[in-house]
Amino acid sequence: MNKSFFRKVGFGLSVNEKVPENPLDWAIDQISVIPDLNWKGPIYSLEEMMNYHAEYNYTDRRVLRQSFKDSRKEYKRAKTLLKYKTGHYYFEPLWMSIRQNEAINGNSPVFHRFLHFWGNHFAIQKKNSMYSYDVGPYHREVITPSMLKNIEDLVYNVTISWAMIHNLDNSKSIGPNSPRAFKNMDRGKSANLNENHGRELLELHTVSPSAGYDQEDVINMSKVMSGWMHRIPKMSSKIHKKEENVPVRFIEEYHDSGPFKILGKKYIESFGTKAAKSMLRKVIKDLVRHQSCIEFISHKLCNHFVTQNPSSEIVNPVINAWKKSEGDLKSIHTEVIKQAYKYSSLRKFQQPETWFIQFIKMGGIKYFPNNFDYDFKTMISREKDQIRRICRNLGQLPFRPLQPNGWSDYEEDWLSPELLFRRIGVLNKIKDKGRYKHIDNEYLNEILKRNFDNSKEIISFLKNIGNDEKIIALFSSKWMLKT
Amino acid sequence: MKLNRRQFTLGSSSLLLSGLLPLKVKSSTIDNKKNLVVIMLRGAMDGLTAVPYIHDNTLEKVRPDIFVKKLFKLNSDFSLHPKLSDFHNLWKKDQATIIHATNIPYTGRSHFDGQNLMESGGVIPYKTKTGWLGKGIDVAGLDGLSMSLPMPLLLRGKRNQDNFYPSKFSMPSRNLIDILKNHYADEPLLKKSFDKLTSRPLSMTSAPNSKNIKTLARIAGAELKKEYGPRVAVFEIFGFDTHAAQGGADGEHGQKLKILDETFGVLKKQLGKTFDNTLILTLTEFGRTIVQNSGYGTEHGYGTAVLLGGGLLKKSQVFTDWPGIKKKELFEGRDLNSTLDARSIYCSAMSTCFNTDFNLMNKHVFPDKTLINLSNKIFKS
Repeated sequence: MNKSFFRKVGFGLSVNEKVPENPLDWAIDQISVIPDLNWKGPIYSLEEMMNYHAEYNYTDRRVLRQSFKDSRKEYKRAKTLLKYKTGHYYFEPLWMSIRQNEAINGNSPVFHRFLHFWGNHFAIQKKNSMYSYDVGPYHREVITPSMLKNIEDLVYNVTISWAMIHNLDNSKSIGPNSPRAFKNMDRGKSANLNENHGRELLELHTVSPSAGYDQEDVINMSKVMSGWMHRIPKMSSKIHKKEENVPVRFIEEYHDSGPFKILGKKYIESFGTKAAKSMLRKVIKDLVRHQSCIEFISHKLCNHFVTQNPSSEIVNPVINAWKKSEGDLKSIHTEVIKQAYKYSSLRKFQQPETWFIQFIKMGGIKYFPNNFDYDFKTMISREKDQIRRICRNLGQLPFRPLQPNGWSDYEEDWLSPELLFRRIGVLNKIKDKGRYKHIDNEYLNEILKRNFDNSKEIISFLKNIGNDEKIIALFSSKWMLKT
Repeated sequence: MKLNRRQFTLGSSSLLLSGLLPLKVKSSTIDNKKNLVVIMLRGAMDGLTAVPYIHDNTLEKVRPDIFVKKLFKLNSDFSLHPKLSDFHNLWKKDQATIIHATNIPYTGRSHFDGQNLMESGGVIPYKTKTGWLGKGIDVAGLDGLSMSLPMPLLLRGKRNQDNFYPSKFSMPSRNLIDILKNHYADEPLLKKSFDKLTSRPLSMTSAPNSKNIKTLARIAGAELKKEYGPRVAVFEIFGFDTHAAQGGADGEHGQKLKILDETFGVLKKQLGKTFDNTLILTLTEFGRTIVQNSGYGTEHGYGTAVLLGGGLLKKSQVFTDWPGIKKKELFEGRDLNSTLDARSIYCSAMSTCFNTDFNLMNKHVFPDKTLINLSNKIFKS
């Protein structure tokens, strides 16, 4: 058995875990059910997050900017207090703790590896403050429940989620032949499509540029999507304090009813709310069955879980599983796991967060704060913010990719001298904090026994290294950086 | 293509931002050390927001809510965004140039394909694994250093490049360093990075942990000033993709331009006399649509503007073969056209700063096309 499999599709094994007798069953069982959360600390729903963010938006925009328009200093002070009150600095560390706790202490690390993959595939950017509020619930309430369904459901649910609609500006889009556009024209106002979401749905989320779509396809896709929005209530309405923090719904007034033509396929007009709503699902269904989408995402999955630039021998079985199951995610994930197992001797450079979670789990490092309660009145403690700061120093804040295509999965992007230094530097700093004291030779052997086939080689590599640096050497080694 | 239509003269400023700066060492031409600073503006910088066309009111009509009226006037045809005040100061000193209606030869409007080509200098996305600046450094026989966490594609070449980003972390014991060095011997990329890491000068072993662009620009400026210091610095500024709330003077695009402007300002101040031998150049993947959308933003477009600053510029001017912005003059009826392959600017800049023959640079870095040598038109001889 190549024990690197436990790191390829999971986060390695802790010294408290037994080596599974059947690794494939171990992994496939985990992606067959949606696991319960192991997290015992505070947790908030997306609805609650929208309320917090609404209070932040409304108070800042409508109250503070008016009240302190003559004093920037006073405004900044008041805004800082508002940020405390609405958990502005609290929620991102909380979401990251929950995410990493499930990976480290949960019963389904393989499920969470796939969740991390899809969360990055359907990335939400740090384009304004909302990411710190909503990305955790977006992963939990939108992506997670879709992971045992069809890829069509996953794409659809993500596409009409609050997070993605907001992130890619679809609420700003007005179909050019919509009733709203005609009203605007009568009033001398402009009314245009916002192509951001339609373009990324094609380029990043489904078929990729290899499908050969053109600008007309992007425009038609954006027309299909017009009308899906978190409509900003009028100031006179009772819920105006929600600002844009209201659930996404389809508003026919903003929808262009077509007809549409996307990637050569014609779609008839979508008159009426029911037909218009179902049009988006029809188009997504066709997109996820498009050969380019199947190849693009299958390759991306294998590139993440098996090896960089996987060969067609590795990717084709995933493509076949996709086609045979017509996009059933469990079937697709199962085939990816099988390929990771079959080709476990091929190595893959691990992204910083994955590598770090493996370090915490396999090394049994004390990592999480004792509790995550917060008073909503003061700055959060450094202890609570530690997880976020470490990931930032490693160059990968999982909820803040710099681009809408998420974090890179290629070695070249993660192996600069400085990024390599950061990994070694973080390990060295944790040593200085005295958190390796429990790791004696016996403990180290337990780590090696569960996670490596070449224990003797590693022991030989470590033999001339001082005890306090052995764990640094192990996790800086080529066997851990490239699993 | 000949630049024989209209060439405007005007002034402006530009600059850069966030988190990454490259440097270079071991110049082969220390006696005439010239520095090249590249600022990547990710997300598609709107050339018509930074440098609006004001010859007539076409732009104002199609951008009623985001057109900025209070501008720095450069000439009868172009103005400069009010957030670019430091760049405007350079303009007034004949140290700023704008090359307008230009872009890399890419019309697909995808950020990722566009940024890949913006950095690689190629014409097929993801085909090339090295960047045009890295290849140019190779041609000139220099080493490079980027002050960033990742190594940008732009700087990747055959030679060992280094990167640095301030932090308070420290290396483990000498013993472990030696063991790891040996351990990575059969992993080329790991070995390459670790060798660079362990040969850093003492000045790069620790530094204030700051991501502030002004701090980074100060550090870069200080290094560029050194006789044997780096000759190339790279920065990047994110967030120009303003599909919504692009706004006017204080909108999202304006805020990003301000960051760019601050970078120009800090570099100018920090470099002192060295600024006379420095060229600062901006890159972006494409421009944005002429017409504003319903969200007071703009969509992905084509032609844009390149901002240059520094003492190596011949004079302040707006250099362009202006294609016009009437509907019939637009690319695909919606975007500012590009009348100059921006790679001609990149190639000319490297040729000038690296004291290397333009044709040689063209042949090795941009082999797919014979580019136009703009050196005599834009840069001091």
